[in-house]
Amino acid sequence: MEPPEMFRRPTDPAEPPPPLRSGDRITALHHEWARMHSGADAATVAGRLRNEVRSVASRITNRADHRLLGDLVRAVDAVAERCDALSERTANLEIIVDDLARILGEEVTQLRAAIEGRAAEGSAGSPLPQ
Amino acid sequence: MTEGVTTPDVVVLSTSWRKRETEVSFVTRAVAGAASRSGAVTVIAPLPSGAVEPDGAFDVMGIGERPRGEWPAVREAQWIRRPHPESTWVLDEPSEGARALFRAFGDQSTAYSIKPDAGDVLTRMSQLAFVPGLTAGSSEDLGMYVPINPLAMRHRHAGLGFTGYVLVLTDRTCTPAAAPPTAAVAWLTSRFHRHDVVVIEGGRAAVWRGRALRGIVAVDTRMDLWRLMAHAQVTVDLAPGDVIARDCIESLRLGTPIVVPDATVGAAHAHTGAGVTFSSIPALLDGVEQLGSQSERERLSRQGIHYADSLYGDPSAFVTRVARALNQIR
Repeated sequence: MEPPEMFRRPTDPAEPPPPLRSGDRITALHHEWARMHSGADAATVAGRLRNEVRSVASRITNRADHRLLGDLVRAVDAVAERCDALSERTANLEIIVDDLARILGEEVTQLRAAIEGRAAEGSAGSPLPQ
Repeated sequence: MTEGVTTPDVVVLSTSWRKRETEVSFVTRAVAGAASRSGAVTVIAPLPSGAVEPDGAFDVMGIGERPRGEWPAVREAQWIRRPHPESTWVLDEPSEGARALFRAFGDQSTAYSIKPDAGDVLTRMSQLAFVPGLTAGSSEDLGMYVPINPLAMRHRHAGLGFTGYVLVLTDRTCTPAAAPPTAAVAWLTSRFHRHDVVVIEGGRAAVWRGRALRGIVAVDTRMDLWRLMAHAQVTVDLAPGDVIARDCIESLRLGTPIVVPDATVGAAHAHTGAGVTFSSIPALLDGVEQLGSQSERERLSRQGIHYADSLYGDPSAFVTRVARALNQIR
């Protein structure tokens, strides 16, 4: 009886990558977007007034760019969310594959060994298969 | 060139003396060393006649040789000092050539063999008993002195970051450790998916887990091997040595039970209660599974240490037993 085949790669589940959405880069993007809207010097009346004027002027002059930036931030967010979901699914699949390799591999090996044992009993003391 | 005759001594007729990597050479040297504690020992090896080769405590002498390291024909043998007629002869490998030399030059002597003698019954020769229960009608159980370094038990092998693995001594010769593994290892790593299986092969240790090769580390010294043995859960010796199964004894002395094939010298050690034997792959898998139990492993480990240390761990006792065995026929 042929010995079991070996795997070319280990089936151990790899360490899952850290989530993208809570990563530094996307968090920084959100902070910057929020800062642009809130204004940095909104503590005083004069500061708030300055921000308001700057904001109105910005909307009048760069309305299209502003919208595009907002859309981009939301798109990056969505892509990151999808990546995280896929990552989680892959990690789960790796665990399932490893469990299958272990459970089925061990059970099939036991069955094959039992068959080998029966065959050996039949032929009374056959030597070890090489 | 037969100049004079020696006083009664021990004549060791050895074809393996210079093959230091073999187990029979290890045993022959140990017997000669032990015998030298109680009398003169003359070591004869297949060398050109008249050659004297210093080797540690002995001068290895030649009486002639034939191609492939075989003994010379009786009429071609030329002794520097012809053996005393009452000398005790020890033949490591009692080939036809060695037996012929003994018959020709050891008239009144009796010889002991280290490996089994498959020769004729006319030759007065019995086998030295190094392993209990293996050589019926031979000398008393001599045991052997099989040294180990107890420090191996303190620190694991530096190349492995884990212990409690199944250590397998391969049955393949001259094969570098690589995929695919030997058949028994393929079965073991498939049956025990989460277990590390460390295979010693070609001077290297290959680590298998979950049917995949995880890495290879060097086994450069005997100490490396002892460390690997000492920190294993079990030692599976697929091809134990054919004289004393030295690796099995070392494993037992280091406290690791053995799993060995039936009808081998190693099986004689296992049958003393220090391990289990197998005759087929299912029995091998069952044996390793049996030793996965901590209590069973500890029980066999204790028995193994007691057995191996008492018979193979005391150099003075070995010297005494050899002297007694060889003196019996003087």
